[in-house]
Amino acid sequence: MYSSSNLHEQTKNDFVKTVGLPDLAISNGANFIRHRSLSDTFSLFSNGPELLEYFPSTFTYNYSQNYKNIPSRIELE
Amino acid sequence: MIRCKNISKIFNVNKPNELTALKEIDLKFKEGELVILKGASGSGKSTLLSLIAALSKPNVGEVIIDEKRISKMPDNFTSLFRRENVGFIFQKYNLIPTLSAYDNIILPLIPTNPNEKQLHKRIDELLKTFCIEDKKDVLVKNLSGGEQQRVAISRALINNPKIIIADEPTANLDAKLSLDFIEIIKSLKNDATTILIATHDPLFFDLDFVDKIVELKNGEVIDVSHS
Amino acid sequence: MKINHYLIGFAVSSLFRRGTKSLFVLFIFTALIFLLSSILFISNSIKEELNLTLDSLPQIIVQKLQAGRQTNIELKRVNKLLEFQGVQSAVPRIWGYYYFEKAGVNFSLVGIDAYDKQYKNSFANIVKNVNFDALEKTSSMVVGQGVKKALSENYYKNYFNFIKPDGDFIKVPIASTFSSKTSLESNDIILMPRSLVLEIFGMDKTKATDIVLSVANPEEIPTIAKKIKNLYPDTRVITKSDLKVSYQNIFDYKSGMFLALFVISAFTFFMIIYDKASGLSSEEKKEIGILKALGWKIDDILQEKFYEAFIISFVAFISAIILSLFFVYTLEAPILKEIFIGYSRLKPSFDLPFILDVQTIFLLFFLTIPLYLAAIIIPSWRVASMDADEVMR
Ligand SMILES: Nc1ncnc2c1ncn2[C@@H]1O[C@H](COP(=O)(O)OP(=O)(O)OP(=O)(O)O)[C@@H](O)[C@H]1O
Ligand SMILES: [Mg+2]
Repeated sequence: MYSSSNLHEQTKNDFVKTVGLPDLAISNGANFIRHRSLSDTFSLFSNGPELLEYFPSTFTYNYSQNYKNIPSRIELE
Repeated sequence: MIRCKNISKIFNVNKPNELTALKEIDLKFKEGELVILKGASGSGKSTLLSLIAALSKPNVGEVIIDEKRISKMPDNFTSLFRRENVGFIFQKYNLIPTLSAYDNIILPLIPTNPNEKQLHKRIDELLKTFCIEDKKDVLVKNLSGGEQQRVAISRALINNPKIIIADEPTANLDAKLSLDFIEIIKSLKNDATTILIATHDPLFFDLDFVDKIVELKNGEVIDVSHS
Repeated sequence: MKINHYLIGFAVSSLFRRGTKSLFVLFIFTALIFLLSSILFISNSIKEELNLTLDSLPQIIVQKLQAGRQTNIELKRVNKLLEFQGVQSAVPRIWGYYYFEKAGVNFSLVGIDAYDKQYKNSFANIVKNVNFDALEKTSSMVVGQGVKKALSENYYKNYFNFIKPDGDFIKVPIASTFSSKTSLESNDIILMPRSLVLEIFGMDKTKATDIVLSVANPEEIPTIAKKIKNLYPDTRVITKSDLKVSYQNIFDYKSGMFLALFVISAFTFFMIIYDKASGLSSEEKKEIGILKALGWKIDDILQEKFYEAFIISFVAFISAIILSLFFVYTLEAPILKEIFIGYSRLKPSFDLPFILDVQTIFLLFFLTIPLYLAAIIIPSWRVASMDADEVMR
């Protein structure tokens, strides 16, 4: 027997298992925010160099630490 | 016994408006005495009373009450001393205008966490004595001058003080109420209370139970008469 | 020690006597703590929501980088990866953004196919009325609530015409929607057979977006990740612990929105404190003088002031916390949620998991109330230690 909140938890986990993508669908204005854990440095520039920021999303959410996984000399801070 | 030992009070020391309000006052009052302070306006009566109640400190000399050198004691002791021994009736009443008459009267007892029943009884007595029973819950700012003065007197008596200090207590009372007040003073004197009254009111000058009349002028004692 | 009810009563009545001033302080105090705690509650709940499903995420994700940019990875590598010691399965995935111009929104397209047996059960649990194979057979899709809404607002009630890179349309019927319970995860997701996604993205059939690995022994994840990286220097390997770190650092507290909000709140708070600390009104001073003349010790006066300040700040604090709990978890944080949702046109329902974040509450408590108490008590103490006669006039 699941309690109702456990049931939701189960549904959510099943969903994530199926789709396999991290992060929430809360803010999807920019792909480097929507799938921030999987995005790379250059997805910041993919819409053109002037489109770095999506206010307020990019002011609220941090860039993913996983950016650091890639060999890039671009300083992000 | 109250002893003023050669006291001077100077306001605004070392400023252009320096003012010597009291100069080398040396006085001695025995326990249970009724003392009248008289003198022109600005002669230093209020200043002397506030020194005796340790509301301020003399620049020179000291005040000694019952062997306690109160003008040399730290604030917390003088506060405690006032709470336990002194009832002060201020010239400007110094009531809290946004509190009711009742709440003003209990102010001195609040820190002592009084017993509710005894407190009620005591306040009812006082309110009755001063005919302000019906004003009990009225805010002080809505009371007349005379009523305010009676609240101030009740407040000074609430802690059954051994020393009563009154600064112009009858200034706003009519003839009848002034006589009532004198009756109260008389009965307090019979209970061996020491009473100091600063006043212009001639009513006090020829009372037969006055022990001493001290006359001040420009901050100096010019006459002490015993009756 | 016996509690002095008279003193507390006097403190309360003093607050009422200075009604407008008390109300003002109460209002500002409540508003500030309400704002701060609401933001902290929301961000904590978002983290909680993220961590809720952390275990269901892939153990290792392998992406290919080309000149630093993520690009599609060759399917050939799947078999190579399977040869690694300890790797249980390697599944190529196809997913990506699809921009729906009319509504100005981004969808996330995810392809799945019947070979991915391990998804079958979980799929059956989230989509009740369509089965996995039927989806494949009818070439249809399952969409999130937000996608469904965006499409139906733009004419597409039962299907949608995707535009392929070559300019052709491809019509995909909507088979079902994800439960709104998963809105925070599924709102912008479109799930469809892999072949369809390949077509819509115009992708090479020999490539995938990334490859997901599962490992028998979780302890081996870091070693395997390192080995893959060594064998293919052009890849980026993201492990579950990388995702966890990413989740933990989701909010940008050090700059941007939060910093602005915190600075404003802190500034306002210190303004009040400064205003308070820079002096009491002449009435308040006189009152202290009177009390002292009537035989109140400095301690008594300070105790009374303490009660006054504590009562007002505590009432403000508690009501702010209760208000913000109600605001965030019952009303779903109107207005304030815009900060977190941004300009996304696909608004998910903001149904956050409730957690009573005791740590945040304590933090706010100890950051605000002692400061306010000090701001009241220090100036009172200064006045109370002067001569009563001096203060009264
Ligand atoms: N805090 C003070 N600062 C400066 N001067 C003061 C202060 N208190 C009293 N004085 C001055 O000291 C003198 C004596 O004042 P005090 O109030 O003792 O007179 P008083 O005899 O009570 O007069 P009244 O009959 O008008 O009440 C006055 O000149 C007054 O201006
Ligand atoms: Mg006077």
